[in-house]
Amino acid sequence: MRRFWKMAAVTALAVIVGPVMAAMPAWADGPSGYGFDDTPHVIVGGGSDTTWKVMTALTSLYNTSAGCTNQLTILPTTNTCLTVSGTPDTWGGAAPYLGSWQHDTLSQAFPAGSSTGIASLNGFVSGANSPTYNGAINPFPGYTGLSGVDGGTWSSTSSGPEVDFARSSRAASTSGGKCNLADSSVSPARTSGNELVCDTFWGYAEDSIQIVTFNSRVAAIQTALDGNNGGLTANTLDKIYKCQITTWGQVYSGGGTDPIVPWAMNTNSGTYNTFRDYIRSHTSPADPTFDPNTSGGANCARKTKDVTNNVFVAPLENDIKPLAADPANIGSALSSSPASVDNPANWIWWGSFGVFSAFPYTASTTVGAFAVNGGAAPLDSPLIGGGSDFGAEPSSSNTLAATYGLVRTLYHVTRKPDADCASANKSASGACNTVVGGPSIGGGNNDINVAGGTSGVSGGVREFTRWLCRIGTVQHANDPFTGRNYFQEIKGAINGAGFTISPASLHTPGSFCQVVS
Amino acid sequence: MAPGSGRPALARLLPAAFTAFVVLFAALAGVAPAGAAQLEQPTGASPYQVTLDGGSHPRPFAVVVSGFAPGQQVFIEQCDAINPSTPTWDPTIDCDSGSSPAPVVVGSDGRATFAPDDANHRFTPFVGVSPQSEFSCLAAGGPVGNPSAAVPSYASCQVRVSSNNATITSDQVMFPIALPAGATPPPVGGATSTTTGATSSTASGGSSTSASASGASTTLRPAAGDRTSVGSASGSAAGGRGHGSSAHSIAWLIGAIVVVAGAGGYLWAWRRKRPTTTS
Repeated sequence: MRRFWKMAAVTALAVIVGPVMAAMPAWADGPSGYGFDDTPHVIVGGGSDTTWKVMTALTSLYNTSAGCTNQLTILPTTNTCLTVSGTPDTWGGAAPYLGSWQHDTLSQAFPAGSSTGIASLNGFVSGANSPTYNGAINPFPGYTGLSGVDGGTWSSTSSGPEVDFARSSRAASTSGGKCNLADSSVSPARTSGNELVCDTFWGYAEDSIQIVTFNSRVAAIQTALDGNNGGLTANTLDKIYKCQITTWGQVYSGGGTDPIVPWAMNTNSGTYNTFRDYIRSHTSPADPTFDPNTSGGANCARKTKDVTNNVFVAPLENDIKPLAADPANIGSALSSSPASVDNPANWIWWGSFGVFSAFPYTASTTVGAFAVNGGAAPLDSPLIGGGSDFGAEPSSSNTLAATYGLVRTLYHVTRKPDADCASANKSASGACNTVVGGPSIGGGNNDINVAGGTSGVSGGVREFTRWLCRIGTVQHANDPFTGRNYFQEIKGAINGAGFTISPASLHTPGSFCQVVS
Repeated sequence: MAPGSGRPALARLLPAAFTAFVVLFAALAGVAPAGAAQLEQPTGASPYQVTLDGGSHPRPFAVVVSGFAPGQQVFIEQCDAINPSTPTWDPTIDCDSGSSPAPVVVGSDGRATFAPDDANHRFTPFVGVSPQSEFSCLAAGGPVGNPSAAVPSYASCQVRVSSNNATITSDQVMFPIALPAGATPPPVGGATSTTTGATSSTASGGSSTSASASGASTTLRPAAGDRTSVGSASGSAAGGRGHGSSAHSIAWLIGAIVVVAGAGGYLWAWRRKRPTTTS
């Protein structure tokens, strides 16, 4: 009889517990269909200066998002996810798998330029030079035996730490880019210089390139060239940077004989690349070899003096202080003389509208009692309905609407094996048609479909990418510290860095991002 | 009002002197600090009644704010109805920089002017969902345009003028606006600063308080989905037109606290002294 009751009790327990266990979400032991492996990883991004602040803000939000209940005991497994079936993984509220489930730590290495970041990401070898991105921690992965996403073997002679994802303020280069992995098993070969063979670019924000003038020139050129007065044209900028136009009087009526002093920019900068490519493609006729640093000869575009090494270098973008400091470094001084090349009112440069707007300290300085303030010059921009002879100053509204002449997309860049548009969502040419069809997230909804790594750093990159590009509040959880939905907070972080979100017209269907694959 | 007789002269004098001090401090604090930004236009009734063009789209209107440093860049953008003194208020979430035209460079008179006929700098209010889908601003009488259930909606919104769209600034000035019944969003891509035909915009703040806005100012109410206390916050979110500076509000708050503390101290001294004279 006792045996009967034991059997009955066990059976009853099984009847009760069985369905309950079956009803438990799969993510109780780690979400399925994702790249998590229940172990936190340290993941480092690097590259762009322009997007450093915004990506720092975004990865900070991700780092503190909800995730699994972790092992708190002092053990070798401390801070890994508890994987006991049925353990309520509810830290931070519902749907913790929509955040950084395994509590990865994403960080942003100091900027070295978009192209440098992409080169590091791809273990790019240039001649005898193999990169090492100091500050990163993970070695180049050397993927082998991959299938589905981008099969084949990735190999590089890189031996140092490389970034795990790149920040880029420029679009992918499809020729001459930072992608030349030694791998003959993939077609087209990764030696083509086409960065889209190596990487996927996830456009998440928009920015404008601001043509920068200084001090009294700001108001003067706005008055002269704003609105229907046409703005600066690509041809004018082309000639300025070739020193074929050398006085402000050649640019606008009233500019007089004041000399124009064009400043150069570091060539690894995405801002440099974007401006260069704009001039190349928008001049009439096109000027496919234009280079703002060199097209005018060695003495045209001004460079800053590195006093320590006694060399002249093209400055990094988005901070006018090195320019303002240069006259003193060459034994001169800032001047207000109309004819002086050290008069900031004679200078012209370019940079990020978002950075200069959100961080005005980068566009303003004083040297002694001499104030130097950068401001936007109007740029020849498209008219709604066609044509282009409108002098537009950059703004958030015309950046969002793409009615300013030089709008660019800001990208999060991943190696294809880490995070890519799923093969099923690609066209025959490899373009990403859609990102719909990811894992079920309950309520009849699905997550976005990001293919890639299934564990380790690779899987962590995949999941940060998915989080960044989810669209709408349904696909996002709430920030456990503010109670706000991450969809709202991501937009806030983008705006807080001076940028705008990608407009819906650019989004890959089902995504908050423009996925370029 | 003198406390009980027999108090030492100094004891009587100190509370009175302190009270005089705090009253003076409060009065000074209530005055906008030198250099604080002040709204000069639009003037008239608050909220400012937006007018519509022939296509029922909100018209740009003149906004002038004084008190900025010459040479400084100043921005303008549209915000929801949340009071900026709310602890969680954040311009990157409660305002939409997608509504922001190009910043103006402040002239030597310290004024930032967003003129309706200046195609690069004019401010055109939006109705419906904000450009970056942060929130909705409703026209009077209900959801006209394209309000979305996915974002919070507000029956009254605000305009913010500041030196930085990306962060809270001490110089920010805010004032409420009301969108008239029938207002509709402009065509896609139209709410930008780079359209031509700028000279067709002729609205001015002072003369438009009654134009095309019948019923708008008195019938506004929080729409379903409004955040708590939004309706009451909207009208006074910035302390009324011309009093929208955060620095100004803080000054008033400090002044009020000091007055209350001073009065309390006076009463405490009075009560403390009284038993000794009555026992």
